[in-house]
Amino acid sequence: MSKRRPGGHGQSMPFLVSYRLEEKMCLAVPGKVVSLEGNGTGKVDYLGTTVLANLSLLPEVKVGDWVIVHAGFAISRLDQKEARRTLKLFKELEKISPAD
Amino acid sequence: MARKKPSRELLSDWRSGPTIRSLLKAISVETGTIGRPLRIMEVCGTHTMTLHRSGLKPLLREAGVAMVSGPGCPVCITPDYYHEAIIDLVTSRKNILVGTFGDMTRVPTARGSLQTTVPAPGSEIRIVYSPEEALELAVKNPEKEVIFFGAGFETTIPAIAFTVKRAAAENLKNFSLLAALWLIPPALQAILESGEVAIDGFIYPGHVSVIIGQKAYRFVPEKFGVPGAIAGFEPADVLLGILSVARQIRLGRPEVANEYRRVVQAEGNPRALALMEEMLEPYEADWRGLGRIKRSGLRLKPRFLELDAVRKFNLQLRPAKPLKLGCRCGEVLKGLIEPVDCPLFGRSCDPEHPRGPCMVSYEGACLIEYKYSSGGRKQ
Ligand code: SF4
Ligand code: SF4
Repeated sequence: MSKRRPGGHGQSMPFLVSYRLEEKMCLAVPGKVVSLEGNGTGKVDYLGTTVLANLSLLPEVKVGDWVIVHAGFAISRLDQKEARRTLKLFKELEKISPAD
Repeated sequence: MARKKPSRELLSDWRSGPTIRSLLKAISVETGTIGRPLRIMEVCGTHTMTLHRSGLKPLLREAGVAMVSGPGCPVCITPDYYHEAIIDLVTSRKNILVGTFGDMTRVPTARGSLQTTVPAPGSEIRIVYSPEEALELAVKNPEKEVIFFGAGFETTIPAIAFTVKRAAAENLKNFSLLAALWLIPPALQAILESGEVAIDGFIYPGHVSVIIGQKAYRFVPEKFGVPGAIAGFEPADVLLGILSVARQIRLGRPEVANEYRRVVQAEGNPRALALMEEMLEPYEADWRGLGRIKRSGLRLKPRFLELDAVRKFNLQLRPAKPLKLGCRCGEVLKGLIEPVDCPLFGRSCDPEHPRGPCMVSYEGACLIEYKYSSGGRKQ
């Protein structure tokens, strides 16, 4: 695995519940599509570790998209706009409901 | 490796202290208004993991929320007799190659585990990360019969369906599937109908929901009046889900909220759902702990029977006599007891010597409890 292992201490990881990839059967992890390799597959980069994934369940996926990969298959796209919206909501909440 | 850094927003912290604290505060304001503590079931083992590893459980308790673990792990709920059937086959027949996920190999049964069993000459058990890896083993080893022993919820089922479809299309004769495929909504319905656990709301599994979407849970508020929220797996995600459930309770308006919108679409993943529909059919499956539940499992449709390991090898998937190991996993999976309530927990059952599947799976409630709480530090 890469030195930049997901979830290492002091690192801020956006969407990751971090376990070792190969250990977890049911883990679904986000990564970025870096290339399409034909036959419905593509390379997905998990912050340093690149793995070939099957993209057939997400026909519309493009290079540069973030996807959630599970058991070798990309199962969902990660919508950055929605991610930002949730983060904004957190900021608002911090104002309305400050932890004292 | 030259790579562009992910954009700043994508690296914003979903575990930031101020966010976590303000979410907890907002939750405690809700429970304060409601005027009683809430019991919320996290259906998915990965949520159990998040709650423990981030130390949220005690903080939530202070905020008036007790979290109960649900059936959330396909390894835990697959009955022993699946493993036993495969063990019988691989020990008695030559040239069988079983591919399965790592957690599955360590489940202890009356016939040992897939990890400890001694296969017949030429037979073996391999850990695979993806069902397609098992299929590739079949291509590379034409002299062997390759069986993929696949356990999974909706998250995993499309990958398995895709792989079987590929095997059928490639006319691969030495590949078959032992399907231990379970559906979450019917299990929730069974838990609600049994009425054994008082649950004020559900945190729905994020990645199961990626596939099935929001509407699959609609019966929960509509038939049972129970609130729920789909949540992601970062600490702030889970808290957001809990806050949503608490709000629904205060307002008396139960619904299926989606608090994981960056990943979960309301309608799920249509391509994956179509594939499941094409390849598989529901049947009355037998869950560890929960027992038989109508239309709660999926098996291959009759036209793919040649790819069904049960049929191909005449596997006997019969409930054997219940084991007298004293494991109370079944009750843990229903949320009836906590792992620490099991007399074996941390005594004769630990991750080195698991007595039941809940201590085996990385998403098993007992293993998580052991790793992150008192159990691990007892000695
Ligand atoms: S990640 Fe999937 S398989 Fe694992 S516990 Fe959650 S729902 Fe179950
Ligand atoms: S602690 Fe061990 S024996 Fe007890 S319920 Fe959990 S897995 Fe079973």
